[in-house]
Amino acid sequence: MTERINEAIVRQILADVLDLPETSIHTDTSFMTVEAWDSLAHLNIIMAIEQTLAFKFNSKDIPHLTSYQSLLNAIQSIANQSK
Amino acid sequence: MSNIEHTFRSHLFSNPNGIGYLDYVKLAKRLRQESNEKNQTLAIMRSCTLEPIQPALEVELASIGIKPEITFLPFNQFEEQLLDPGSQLHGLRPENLWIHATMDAFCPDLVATNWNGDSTSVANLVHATVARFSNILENASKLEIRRIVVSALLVPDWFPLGIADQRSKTSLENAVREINAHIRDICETHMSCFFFDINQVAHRKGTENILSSPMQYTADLPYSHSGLIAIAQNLKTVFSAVAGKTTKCIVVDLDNTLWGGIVGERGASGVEIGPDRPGRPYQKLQQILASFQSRGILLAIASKNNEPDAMEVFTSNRNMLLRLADFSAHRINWNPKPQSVREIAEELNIGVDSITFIDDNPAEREQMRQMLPEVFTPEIPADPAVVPDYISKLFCFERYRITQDDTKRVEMYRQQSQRNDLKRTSTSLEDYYRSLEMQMTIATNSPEQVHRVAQLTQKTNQFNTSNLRLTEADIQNRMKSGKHWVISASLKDRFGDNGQISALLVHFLDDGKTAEIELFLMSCRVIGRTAENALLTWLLNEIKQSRRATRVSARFVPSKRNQVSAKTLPDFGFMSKAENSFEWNLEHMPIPEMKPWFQITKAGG
Repeated sequence: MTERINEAIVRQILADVLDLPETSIHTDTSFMTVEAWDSLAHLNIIMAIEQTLAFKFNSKDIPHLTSYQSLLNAIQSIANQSK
Repeated sequence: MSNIEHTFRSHLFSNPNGIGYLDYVKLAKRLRQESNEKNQTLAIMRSCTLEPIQPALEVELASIGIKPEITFLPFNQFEEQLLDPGSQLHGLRPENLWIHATMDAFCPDLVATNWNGDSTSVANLVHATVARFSNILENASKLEIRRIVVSALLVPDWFPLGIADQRSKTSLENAVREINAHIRDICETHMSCFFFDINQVAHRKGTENILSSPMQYTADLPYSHSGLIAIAQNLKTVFSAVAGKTTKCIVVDLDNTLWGGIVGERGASGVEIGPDRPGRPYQKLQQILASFQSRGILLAIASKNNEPDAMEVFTSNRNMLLRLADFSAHRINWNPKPQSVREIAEELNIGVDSITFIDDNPAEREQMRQMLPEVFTPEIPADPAVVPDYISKLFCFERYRITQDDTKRVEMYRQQSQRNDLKRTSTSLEDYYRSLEMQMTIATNSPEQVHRVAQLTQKTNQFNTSNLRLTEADIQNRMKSGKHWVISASLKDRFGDNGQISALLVHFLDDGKTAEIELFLMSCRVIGRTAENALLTWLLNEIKQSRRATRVSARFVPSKRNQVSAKTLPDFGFMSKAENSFEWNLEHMPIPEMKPWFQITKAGG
């Protein structure tokens, strides 16, 4: 259930920050496939997720959170830790 | 005021809890879709990553009508950008510059020093950092940038010696506070520099909330999303205050706003106000409104009530801090509030767009927003206990400096109503002017007037022939040029001092024949007392006697609000050369006599 919600949140944030239609965000969306996903957009994505889900990412993970899937995995692992 | 300005202002103040980072990203996108037009340039000189502030900064500034082209200057370049004529900063020549230094990058020696060592080394480090700031601001102010906003250093929440630091005179905290005091003082010596104490932000929001170590160590971005938002909001406040966009009048509701409960039901002694529960928040709000009064903001009332019921609270409830005399106007009746606010604006001779409306009732607020979108109508928290704090922090009540005129303004409006009474009882206008006993004092290129003249150019909208908005630096440059007269006039009469009421800018052109009136403005509080006539008479004589010109030219630049000054020049007798372009030939045109009811004095002799 929460996974579903997280997927929707991340999809929406990527769409808003990268200025893409939400339907174009797939599991393989990453900084490699989207031109607008540069290092500054990366920071905006991290900030928007941290604000929306009210947590902070681990600094070791931040540089690697450059795809839809890696963002979801990191969110899931933070959710599991707090259980 | 533009539509975008109201739209974004209402987005930002539609929720008393504020909005989050993602909302700013979305609003910034909407802003770009609605209009890509930029009206100012802003360069950011910084020692850390700040780019993610852009959405919040764009949206916040849009809410005060500023749509800046933002440029982030290369990371950690201060002197390089200022001194190298080939730098990006020199290429841009921005109107606005924000200098934001962080300790880690800007003064790393200070962070790394031995805090248990001798105090001389700390003093030297403080001195070196201040000297670097001083040099940077010195060079920046040579670049003809209109506004340079300088962030203070954030007082760190790291205490090298822990709680022992509290007892140490040479603590890191004290060193940073000392540096900040110097930066503030240096800003005061440069007309275009404005101090931005980021520690006020940190104090209100908390360093743990505004800082983010993970972002700091991965991206050199010290701030969290909430930190960036708080900084953007406060930077907007500085820009708004510096541009003189301060509210001129707060119109408040009475029942459940100025006091708790409904006076029509509880009677004058039954309403909640005073030092005991549940009247305390209302008492606090009255204190805050009184503090706004000392910033020169007027108070007025728009209430739906039977007037005698409401009046009785002011006259008989001893817990009321504000008296009826504190309000410059009131409308206590059953009319729609937009109508009352419009009438108050007319009575006080101010624009509706300089009014903030405070009402606990959502329906009244909605009606105001619909019918008078120019009036600023912030959302008000539902819990009366949090209302005073919320209102005390609204950006629209901020002034960068409080002038003498600001502190006297409320009294001036009181005198104005006495003048209106005299006018009603006078048999003729001339009789009224004579009985006012007006004394005008005129100063030319007087350094003491720089601030007030800047303030007048920024906020005078009605009697203003050219709408030239000038900063203190612009005015100082003119005073020093040898080609300009910056003239300011103050007016006293039997009811009191109206303060500095007018500014005239005269430019003597290089042809040696022409004096051009670049700007003629007058505070609306003295409109209709022939002061414009006296000033023009004085000015023409002054120019003629100094023989610096044989003709005086002037233009009228129409705006939405300056119709009242459209006819001033032709009515005085200026020849019309072309549409809105006028001239006075000093060789052939006799200057009208000074109106006999004015006594004119030149300041300083």
